[in-house]
Parts: sequence; C-alpha cells; structure tokens
Amino acid sequence: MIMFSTTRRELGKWALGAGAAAAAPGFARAQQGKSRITVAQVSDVLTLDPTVDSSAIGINVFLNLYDQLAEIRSDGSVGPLIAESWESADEQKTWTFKLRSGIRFHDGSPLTIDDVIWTFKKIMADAKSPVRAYLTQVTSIEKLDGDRLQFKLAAPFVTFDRQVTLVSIVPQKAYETLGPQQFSLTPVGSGPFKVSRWVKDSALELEAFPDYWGGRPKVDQVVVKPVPAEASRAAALISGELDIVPVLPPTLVDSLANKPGVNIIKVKANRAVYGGINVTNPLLSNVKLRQAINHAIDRDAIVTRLLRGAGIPLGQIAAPVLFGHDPDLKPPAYDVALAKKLLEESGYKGEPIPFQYPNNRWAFADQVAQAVGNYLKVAGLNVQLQPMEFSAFFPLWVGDKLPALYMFSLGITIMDADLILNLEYESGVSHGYWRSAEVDALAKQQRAEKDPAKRKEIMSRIWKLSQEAAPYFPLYSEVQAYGVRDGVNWTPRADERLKFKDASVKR
Amino acid sequence: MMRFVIKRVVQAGLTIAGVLTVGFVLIRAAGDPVALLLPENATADDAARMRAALGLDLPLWRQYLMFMADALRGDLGMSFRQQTSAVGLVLERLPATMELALAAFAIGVILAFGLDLTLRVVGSQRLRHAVLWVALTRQAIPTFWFGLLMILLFSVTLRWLPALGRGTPGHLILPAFTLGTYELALYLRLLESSFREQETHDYVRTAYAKGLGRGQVVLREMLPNVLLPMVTVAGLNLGVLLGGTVVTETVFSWPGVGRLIVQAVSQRDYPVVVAGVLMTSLIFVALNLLVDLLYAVLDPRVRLA
Repeated sequence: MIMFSTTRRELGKWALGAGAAAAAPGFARAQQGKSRITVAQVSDVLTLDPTVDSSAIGINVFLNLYDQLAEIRSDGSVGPLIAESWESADEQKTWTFKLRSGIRFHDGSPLTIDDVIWTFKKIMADAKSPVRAYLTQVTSIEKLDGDRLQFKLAAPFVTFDRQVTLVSIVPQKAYETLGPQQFSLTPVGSGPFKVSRWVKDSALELEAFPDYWGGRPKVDQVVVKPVPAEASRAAALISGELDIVPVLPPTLVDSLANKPGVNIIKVKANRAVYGGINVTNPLLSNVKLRQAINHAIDRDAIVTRLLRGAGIPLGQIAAPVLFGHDPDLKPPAYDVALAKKLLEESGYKGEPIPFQYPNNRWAFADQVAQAVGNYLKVAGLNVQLQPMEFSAFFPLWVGDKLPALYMFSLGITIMDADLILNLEYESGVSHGYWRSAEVDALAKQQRAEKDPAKRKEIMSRIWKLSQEAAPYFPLYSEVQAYGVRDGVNWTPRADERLKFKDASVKR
Repeated sequence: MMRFVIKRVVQAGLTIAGVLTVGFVLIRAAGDPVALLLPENATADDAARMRAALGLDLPLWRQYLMFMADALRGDLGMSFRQQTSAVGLVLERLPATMELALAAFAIGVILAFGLDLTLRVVGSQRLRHAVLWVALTRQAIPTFWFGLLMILLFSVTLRWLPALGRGTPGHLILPAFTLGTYELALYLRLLESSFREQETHDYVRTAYAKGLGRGQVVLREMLPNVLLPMVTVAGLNLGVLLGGTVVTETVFSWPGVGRLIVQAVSQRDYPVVVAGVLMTSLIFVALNLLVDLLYAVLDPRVRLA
C-alpha cells in the first residue's frame, strides 16, 4: 500500500505527460441555461447531517448548506453570520451572541434562537458525535431574550467565536419531523445552497437558494464529485468534466499549467509540516542534539527544489497565514558544521533513531521525509524512516505513543495559532512531548487576553522558547495549488475550505 | 439433490460464521477507530465517552457475543461514521457494483469465447496466438495505468466518453472495458490450454477420423469438455468482481462496494467493513453452489450427493 501510493502518483504524472497533445474545449458540460460549477473532493461526504460529522470533506459541504453563528472570512479573520455581533467577558469565559433576524431555512421557516440553542444542545448530548469535541468547554447555553444567547465556558477561551464557525445550525422542527436518518439524506439548512440530489459516492448536486438572506448565490448549481484518484482528477479537469480541483500535488502543477482552459491558482495555506521529537526518550532528551537536528536541515532547498516553490520555510509550527505567526522569527540556519558540533557535544553515539510519518495525508510526505532523513544522516544521526498509513499513524499521535522522531502536519482551520498550543504544547491536553511551565502559563494567559496585539506578543515568546528547547523541527507551510477552468470565477482560501456563495461562471 | 443442498447450506452457515469471526478480529486488530473519528483537539474524556457510546469499552469477548447475536438477526450494527445501518450502506452500493461486474464479466466471457472459437474454427493458429498475445499484454498492464490511458484517450483527447462517475450508459463503457479486457486474457488463456489438453484425447482423433469438420469437432465434441474448467473459473471470478473492484472503481470514481470497504477500512469503521466482507463471502458461497449445480448439468458423470 505504501509503495503503491507513490507509484500511483508517478504513473499519474507520466500519464498526463502522455496526454499532453489533447485539448479541445467544452466536453461533458451540461448546457441547460443554468450556470454550474463542478468541483472534486477526494471522497464523498458521509452524511449531510452537520451535527454528527466533523470531517473536512463534510464541513466543506456544510459551509454551503448551512449557516453558523460566525464565519472565518477569506482573509482569516472571523466575521458575523447568524450572529450579527457578540461580546465576551469574564476573561473570555462568557460569550454573548446577538442573532440577526430575517434568516430563513430552505423550507421557508424562520431560523430562531431556539433552533440555535437546540442544535448546540443536541450536539453536546450526543456522545457519538465528533462535533461534540468542539464544544467540550461549554458548560451552559442560555437564552437571554428573543435574539441574544449566552455561552458559559469552563475556562477562558479567546477563540470561542472561531470555534462556533464549526457548528452548523439545523432547524429543530424539520430535523425532528424527518428524523436523523432522513435528515442526513435530504437536509434542510439556511445556507446559500440547498441539496437537489445526492447519489452517494457519485455526485452531490447543490442548487442556489434564491431567498438566501445574504443574497442569492451567483452560480445556479454546484456539483461536488468524489474523485479518489489524483490522476483522474487532473484528467477530468483537462477534459472539462471538473471545473475545480483543490490541492493539486506539486508534480501535477507543471503539467497542468500549460493545458488550455486550465488555470493554476496558488494560495498560501494554513497547513504547516513539521517534525516532532519525543523529548522523554533518553536518546533525545539532550537539547543540543535537538538543536543539531534543526540546523542539519536545509529548508530552503526542500522548498525550492523538492516542492518546486510550493512551500514557505518555517521556524515555528504556525503557518504565516495564521493569527499568532511571528514573521520575525526565522527558521534555524542550515549549518552542517554547527549541527555536527552540537551533535558531538550532546554525546550521541550513533544509536538508531526511528522517524515515523504518515505518507498519505499531504502531498510529498515521502519525498520530504526522505530528504530530511538524508540531511540528518549527513549530520551524523542514524535515522530510520518508517512511513505508515495515516490511519495507523494518527492514533499513535493522539495516544502520545511516538517513540522518537516523527513528521506531522496541521492545517488549522480556525486560522488561529491558539489551537496549536492546545494540540502541541500545553501539559495535560497536548500531544507534544515537551513540557514547560512557562509555556503553559503563557498559553493560558493569552487565552484569557482580549487584545490581539498582546496575544501575538505572547505567542511570539512561546515560539522563541520552543525554538531554544527545540522539541520540534518546523519544516515548511504549504503553498497550495488549485486547478480552475477558464470562465470560473472563484478564489481558493488559505483554510482549504470550499465555499461557493461568491463564485460565478462566465463561459 | 435435496440432501446435497441441505449439506451445502449448513456448510455455508459455518463458513459465514467463520468469516464474521475473522472479520471481527482482524478489523479490531487493525486499530482503534475513536482517534480517527474525533477532531485533533478532542480530549481523553471525549474519546472515552465516544468509546462507551459505540460499545467499544466492553471486554472483547462480550463485544464478540453481542456482535454474533446481532449478526444472527441480520443486524451488523450502525456505521460509526455515518450513523446508519452498515448493511444498508453496502446494499446501496450493490447495484453499481453489479452493473460494472456483470458488464465486465460479459465483455470478458463473450469476447473470449467469440474470439477463440471463431479463430479456432476458421482462423489460423498464428492469428489466434496474436490475439492471445495482445490480451496478455493488456493483462500485464496494471489496471490503474490502463484505466488512466483509457481516460486520456477517450475522455481527454477524443472527448467521446466521460471519465468520472456513474449515470448514463456512456459512464459504464470505460470502466467495463478496462475491467473486461483484463478478464479477457484470463479466459483466453484458459480456453487455449483446455483445448490443447483436449486435443491429446483419443476421442478428438476419432472424431476427425470419422470425417467430421473442424467446426463440428471444436464446437460439438471438444467444447462441452472445455466448458467444465471454464465454469469453475468464471464462477469464482465473477465472485471476485462482485466483491468490488477497488482499483477500477477508484480510477473511474465508480460508486461501488470496493471503494466503500476500502474507505471503511482506512477509517476503522468496523461495522461497514464486516458488512462488506460478509456480503462478499455470501456471494462466493452462492456462486460456488451455483458452479457445483452447473457441473452436474454439464457433466453427466457428476452426481450430487
């Protein structure tokens, strides 16, 4: 399986080279006087019920079918949606949202504050729902009056307004009438699009909701097609069967760029790729050895040569597009002599060091891991690469069971680095292995801090502490490429989400 | 005959129980689904709650007994991911899989018999070998690669046929042809070796000596004997096709059972995996039975007992 995925990718590249001669426009396009955009996802959405699915594939669809209290805007900031305004108090532990009036669901019924509260309570009561994990901090939801509701949280949570962008509001009445099974197939939302047809694993057809409160979408139809094979996605983009193919692998970008009718749009993404070090492993507990690792890697070469420019070298595990990224903190300098010196001082004797990574989660994981492995070998580290399936790797990451070195990536969809502290730094909750009382305190402090400038400053301090103690070796953040057909006016986003309200077609 | 059927049904029941047990154990050995279900920032408490809600916190033997008791009633549980019946999910994909499998099977069998018998009766041996060579070359090409070539030629270059999905008859052509031509080589090779084996028998020489024409010897005398191994192979092979053809389904985005099962495996969606495996084994058991019955019809020497 492992080798197969690489081979497939290579075959795909080859295949496209072979088909380079082809390019007559306009096949397979339905001409019914309706404008339509067809977009590929890697697999099909599993359910259309947003209260039970937190997958990225699912959320990409939910964002078009439903409204949320707030939304992450394309510039990464958080803005109003169902809630027209909100305020936080009590060290970010109390959040009061004021709802907009005049929002209607697809069945014509009004979206009320009771629908909002019911949706949140339903999710929080469902232990089987992964969405519940987004709301672990919520202790109570209260209706203050006809259009204001208040959340009380167990702890300060300055990014709670970003957190609620992940919760799609469903209509209580329709949900209860249809029942969960039927609702998951023929849902009722209040978003800019409604479902017109869903053939599982084949196509999900969305239709513009003419009465959308934020204005009718410019495109009449959006068809979401699950296309698991990378090379097939690319071929269908050339043939015109697909209009948008998200996140193309770097290998395919060049061959697609010169195809008539196909445009490549690049976007700096929220995904950071980095190495982690289990500092509790006696072999890796020495800070000099960890710094040696950081200086041994030529991040610039990886980005320019291997990724063909599809990355930005990083010295912190937060991508530049995230709130909290410090642009002044440079990656550790590539200096083999220094790395060798540090390694010698650390007393390392050439013991084997396993290096685990998932190779089917993001583009070029194998190639980057091999390059990193080689840089570390050159510096004198006896690194042993262990590629694995993401589904085998991820439980190890969650269970804190990675023995030595590993490579991982995080795409922070709430676009705020606060989540990184939660996931990789803080004692008790994170899946990192390095513990620092100072970082713990700083993380807590910024989570209760309202002033963005102060939060940024605190985060910078954390990144600097991390760079000194070197529990990570940040590598790069992705610059993602989207394939978009001529005439389709749509801009990809830094958070990998697919939203079509403002998309339009002119052919 | 009746005794034979009863005996086979009992055997099938044991086989299915065995398959369910192996499926239950293997997929659990593959890893914990809870980590993959939850978002990255889920707490240990979230995980524990979900594990309890899915019944995965119980001792394995209790899980197994409950699973088998439910399975006996035809209930393999709800998909962890989709919170809907796992059997239902598999059955939903079955029409697409059957459509592709039967089309590919038909292409393979019809082409194989058509080409082989025609060329055997009227053509030269050289031509027949050339056809076999072409078919083997196709079979030697990985299906993933061949499928892509088909897409590049017929969808990208000529723009005759769609590359993705299912819907119109046009959607079926490329995947069915890709899969069917792979099958073709299998049957052609088997026909070639079976006929060659039959040619060594005395009855063939006798038939020619009696003055029968080539067509009569091939079609009337040899073909019935050649059919026997073909039925076995074709039956089992149809089972393979009906169990889902992951690679072809992936290349052409065909919404079949294979993709469902593969996705379920990578998500550790236990109930869906087991439902898929169960369906595949049921198909195999049924086809095996059918092959045995056909044998009795085709070969008078075989008596069912």
